[in-house]
Amino acid sequence: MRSIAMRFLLPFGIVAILFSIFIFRETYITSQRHANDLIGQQAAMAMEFNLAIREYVAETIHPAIQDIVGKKEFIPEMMSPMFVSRSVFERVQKKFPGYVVRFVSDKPRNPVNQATPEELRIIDFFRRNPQASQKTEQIQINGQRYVAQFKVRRMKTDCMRCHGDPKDAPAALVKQYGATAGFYRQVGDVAGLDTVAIPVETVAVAMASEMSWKQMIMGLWLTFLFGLIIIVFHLVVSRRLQTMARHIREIAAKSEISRMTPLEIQEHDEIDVLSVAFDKLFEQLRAMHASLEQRVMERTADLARANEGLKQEIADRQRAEEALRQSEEKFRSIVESSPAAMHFYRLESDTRLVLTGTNPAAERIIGSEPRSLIGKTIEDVFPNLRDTEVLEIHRKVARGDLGPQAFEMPYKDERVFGFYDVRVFRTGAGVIASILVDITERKQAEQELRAYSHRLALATEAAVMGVWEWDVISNAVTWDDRMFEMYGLLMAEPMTYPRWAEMIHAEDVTQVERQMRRAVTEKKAGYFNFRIIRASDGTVRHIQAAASVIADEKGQVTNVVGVNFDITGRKLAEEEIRKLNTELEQRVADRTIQLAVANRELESFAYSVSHDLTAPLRGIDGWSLALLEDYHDKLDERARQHLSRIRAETQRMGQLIDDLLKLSRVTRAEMRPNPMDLTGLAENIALRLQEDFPHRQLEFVIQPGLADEGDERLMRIALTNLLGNAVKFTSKRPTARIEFGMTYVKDRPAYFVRDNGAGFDMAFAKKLFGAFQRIHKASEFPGTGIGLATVQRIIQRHGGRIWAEAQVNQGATFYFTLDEAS
Amino acid sequence: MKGTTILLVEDTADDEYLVKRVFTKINLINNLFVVRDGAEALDYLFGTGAHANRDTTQMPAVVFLDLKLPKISGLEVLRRIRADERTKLLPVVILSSSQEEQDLIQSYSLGANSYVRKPVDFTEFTEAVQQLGFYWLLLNELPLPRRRE
Repeated sequence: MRSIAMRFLLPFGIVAILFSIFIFRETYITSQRHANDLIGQQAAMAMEFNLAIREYVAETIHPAIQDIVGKKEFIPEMMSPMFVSRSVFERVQKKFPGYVVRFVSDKPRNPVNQATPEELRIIDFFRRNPQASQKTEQIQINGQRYVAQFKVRRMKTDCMRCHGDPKDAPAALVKQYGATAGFYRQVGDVAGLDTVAIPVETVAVAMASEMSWKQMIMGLWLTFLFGLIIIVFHLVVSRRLQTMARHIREIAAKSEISRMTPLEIQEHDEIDVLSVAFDKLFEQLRAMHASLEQRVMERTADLARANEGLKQEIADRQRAEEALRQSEEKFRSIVESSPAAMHFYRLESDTRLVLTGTNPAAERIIGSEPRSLIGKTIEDVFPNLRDTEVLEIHRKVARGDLGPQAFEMPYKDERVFGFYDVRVFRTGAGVIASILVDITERKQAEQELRAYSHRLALATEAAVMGVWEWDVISNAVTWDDRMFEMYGLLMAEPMTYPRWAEMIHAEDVTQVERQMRRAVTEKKAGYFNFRIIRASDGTVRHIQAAASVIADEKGQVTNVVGVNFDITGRKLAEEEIRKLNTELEQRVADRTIQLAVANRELESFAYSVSHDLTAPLRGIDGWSLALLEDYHDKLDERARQHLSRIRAETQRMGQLIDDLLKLSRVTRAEMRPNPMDLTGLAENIALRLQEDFPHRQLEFVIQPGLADEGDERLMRIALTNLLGNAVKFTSKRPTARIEFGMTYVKDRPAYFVRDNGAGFDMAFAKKLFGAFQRIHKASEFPGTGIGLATVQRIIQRHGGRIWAEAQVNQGATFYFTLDEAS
Repeated sequence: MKGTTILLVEDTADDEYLVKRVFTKINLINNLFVVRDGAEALDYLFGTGAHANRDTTQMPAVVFLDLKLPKISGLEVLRRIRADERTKLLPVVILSSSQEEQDLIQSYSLGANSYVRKPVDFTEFTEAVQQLGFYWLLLNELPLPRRRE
């Protein structure tokens, strides 16, 4: 903390010091200027004295003495102005040792008057400035500062007597100083300088001593003034304020306070007034504080009471809320987990029921996102209930016209189908809950049970099924009417277990009784067959029986119930079928052997044909050729033509045999089914055909991506034949267009080969696929008529079918399928 | 040294005559030797029976073998040729009327060098025989025959 005194005195002191420094400096500069002026004036005066002396010597003394001593004489002590003035000032200098008064020249007569370099500079200045007569400046002499005044002396006419030609000068002068020094001067030339120089230091020192004294006095005065101010300030302001502050600090530490102002303070000035005012204010504050404390205590008590009440209230409310929350939680979990679909509606107008909420089970009925239906009307939720009694019931319950309702209803829309047990009840004004329990399964079970009972009745009647029950304990047996009929007994006859056992075929009875015993001991139902001898006609009947056990609560079997079927007819039929099957198998085996033999024969036949049948043909052809070549000259044209015919026919025969063998090979070949790329196969064949018929204009259109399962070797033969035929039968067209692809015929996929060739009359369609069957003349379209037979054989071996559609000159389409069965 | 003979095994007189006719035409008739059944073919090759005096170091350049032969079948002849050290490298061309797949498979399985079908068209047959003659006598190269110790 800085005291007021400090804060007040510091700036005040700084300002005072700065001001004092300024005053001192101004005083010093003024005194210096005065001193310089004084020195200047002194110098001027000394100069004037000097000049006056010299003038006087030159004008008055010199002529007077000259007159006395004669013209030839020269007495410097009296006649030389220089000499005289120097002598005078030598005396002056004794009193004022620092003062310099003298005459100098650059070429003095008396060497004493020789100019210093400084003075030579001044002489030079006057020579260059003829109009200048005097000059004042500060110079240094022997390291001391001087204020110097220079006056120039120029040669005048009357000077020339002593300074012109030495002949004119007094003899004594020449005799004393020689005939050269100081002679031969010109009029107007600078003769020399009068110099007066006064040392600056003498004046400055005197002044400085005076100034320092004055400064000391001034400093002391200022110090005294400051001290005084500090003391007064401290006594009047600082000390009292400090006392007050200390007092306040002391009383602040105390708890009991009577006064704020120290007792020693009376009302003297503003500070005292302030303290007393403080005191009064404090009194008031204390009174206020006391009353405030009282009020605070009262309020605190009030608040404590209120707080207590509030706590009680909060606790009550929390308990109530917890109870409510638990209850709501319980209710919610019931609603959420209930398997019954719950819908909550609010009646918004007389007829408008709006869905306000659902539970998860409702999702199963009204869809997976029931939230989207919230806010919708009940008609939107159950669109198919629109205008039904069910909705009216809901509305009536909501209006309060009806009490709680319960009914069953079927409901069906695109989302759901089922039977529901519906409960509708009011949960508040215009608010209802509608609970739907899915009873579809129960309804279906009921329905199924009804249907089942009905079917059972029908079945027992139709199947000639008898129902029996055996009471194990009493050994009594109960039969229905059909049982009696089946066993050829009268219905009146009482039935027992031994009686029944008697009727069983002797060979089966042991086995049947074992089964029955097992049913009782192992509590196991079973099926078993046996024969009976029918009582009415003594015939053997086949019976199929089913038995099922009924046990009491201890697990003891009490009854065995079951049915009997008379399966005699079925047994006989089975027997018949078995016999027929055996015969059939035998026949198949026989036929297979026959077929194998036939196949082997066919094989060896083909082999033989292959080897032996062509050799003679080749012979015929060879010999014919030999004849043609060897006897060419001896045969006439006709004979040669005949031989050519023989050769052509022979070759055709060879072709026929080849084709027949191919056909037989197709029949005999083993099938090797594999995935086939039909498109690739067809494209490959097309390429070869194009190469075989380079001069034909063939346009093949082959559908990409055709693939199937089959024997590729055989399919190549089939497709080669079909596409080759297409090429052959389009030979009369300028451009042949041949397509291979897949299409649908009567909704079933079929491959097809289509051409724009000669076509054929559909009347011959049946003959197409027979061997050696030809529709066209060989001269028009050559061929053996075996190709299509081969194709058909291949398609059939694939389990497929082939047929054709055509019109004369409109082209033909051959359709085929592979593996019709799949 | 390469053989200069073609051994034709052919029982059909017509075919024999016609082959000879072709060889005459192409001036190779002197290189053709004909046997008429399988047994004789083996006698010729191994210097037995009627051909006991034949120099068996001189093997034919090629054997034209029919499949259907009296006494020993063509396939059996082929099997024995391949089984014998002296003839196992001997080129054998099957010359048959048959186009049956089983014949082809069996022939190649037993090591036939070629299978040529005798076509009905004699012009084609002539061409085939000519090309075979030229090929096996003039063009084809063989490893040196191994001499018997």
